[in-house]
Amino acid sequence: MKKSNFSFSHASKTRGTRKRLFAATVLVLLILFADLLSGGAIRAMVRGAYVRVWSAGSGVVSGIFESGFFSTRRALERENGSLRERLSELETKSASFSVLRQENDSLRSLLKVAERAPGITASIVSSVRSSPYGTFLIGAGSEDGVAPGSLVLAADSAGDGFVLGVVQEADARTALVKELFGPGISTEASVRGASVVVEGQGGGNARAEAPRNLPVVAGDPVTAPSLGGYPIGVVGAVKTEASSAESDVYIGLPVSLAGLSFVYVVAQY
Amino acid sequence: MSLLNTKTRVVLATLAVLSAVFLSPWLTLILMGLLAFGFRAWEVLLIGLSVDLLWLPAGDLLDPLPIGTLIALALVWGLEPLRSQYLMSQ
Repeated sequence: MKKSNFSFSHASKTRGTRKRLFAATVLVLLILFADLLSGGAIRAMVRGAYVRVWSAGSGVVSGIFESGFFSTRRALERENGSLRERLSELETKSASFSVLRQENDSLRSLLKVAERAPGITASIVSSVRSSPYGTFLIGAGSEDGVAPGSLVLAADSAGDGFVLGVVQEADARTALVKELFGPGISTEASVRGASVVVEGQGGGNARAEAPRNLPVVAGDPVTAPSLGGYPIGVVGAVKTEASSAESDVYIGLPVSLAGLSFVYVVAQY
Repeated sequence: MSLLNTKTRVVLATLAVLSAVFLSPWLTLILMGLLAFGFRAWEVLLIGLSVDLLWLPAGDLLDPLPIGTLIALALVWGLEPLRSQYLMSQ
């Protein structure tokens, strides 16, 4: 009798969880189709909320890590009470200074890029490694003159501009950028005057096949004639097999995507 | 559902959401897989949808494919026979 009660209750629970799963499936499909039919209206709302959370969160996180709280805690414990208080105060000031200096360096390196083409500087307002589509968000949108097709550039330490990606969607205050080196994205490019198709691998890396007799070496810039002739990366390594007529060219960005705070957006090129 | 299972489910779902927003898509996929394998987790569908709403670029209808939602559907419904055999919790 007990066993029969147990199996009845088990079957009833299973039916309940399946019903919930089915309802969630219907809901998810409805939201997805509503978004597709509305031209991304739901996406825009979700991204707006995300940007607000990101902006608030990144300020707190960078404040905690830049303050050196974790790295200097052991040392501070050896100090006496009054010194500890003073040190903490100075560290907070130093952290603010370090954040400002970082921003200043980043903006200064973009200055040289800005001299070449008119555009706007925008901050990166999302993670650059979470998207399976090789996309990220910037804090400038149609109200700032950003439109689909605008180029998104970053500057390396020498101040040279590299195209990171192209704006895919522009909402009022944010825009979604698709990285040129995102997974599975192909871009026509030129290296040492030869046309190659660069295939993105994700993480700021890409691969291309070049004729074997082409004297490509590490450090050669790779440009994209269709993107205003801007460089899109630098050759990192070349691998040639004796049996193949083509060399594998591995290309990378000269800047670390994860370390970027600002980008330069060029609408006309 | 035991308390341990509920806690595991909540922790996995929270980690998956954080991963979808801040960390690697591969970690999100692994966490979604663990959730879907262990539970009849409707959260997996919402996490997959969130990935698409956040990161999917504009295009034609279903181009690019909303892979977050499709993977979530495949995990949730495709693992159902396996889950029925080895389910950690109902």
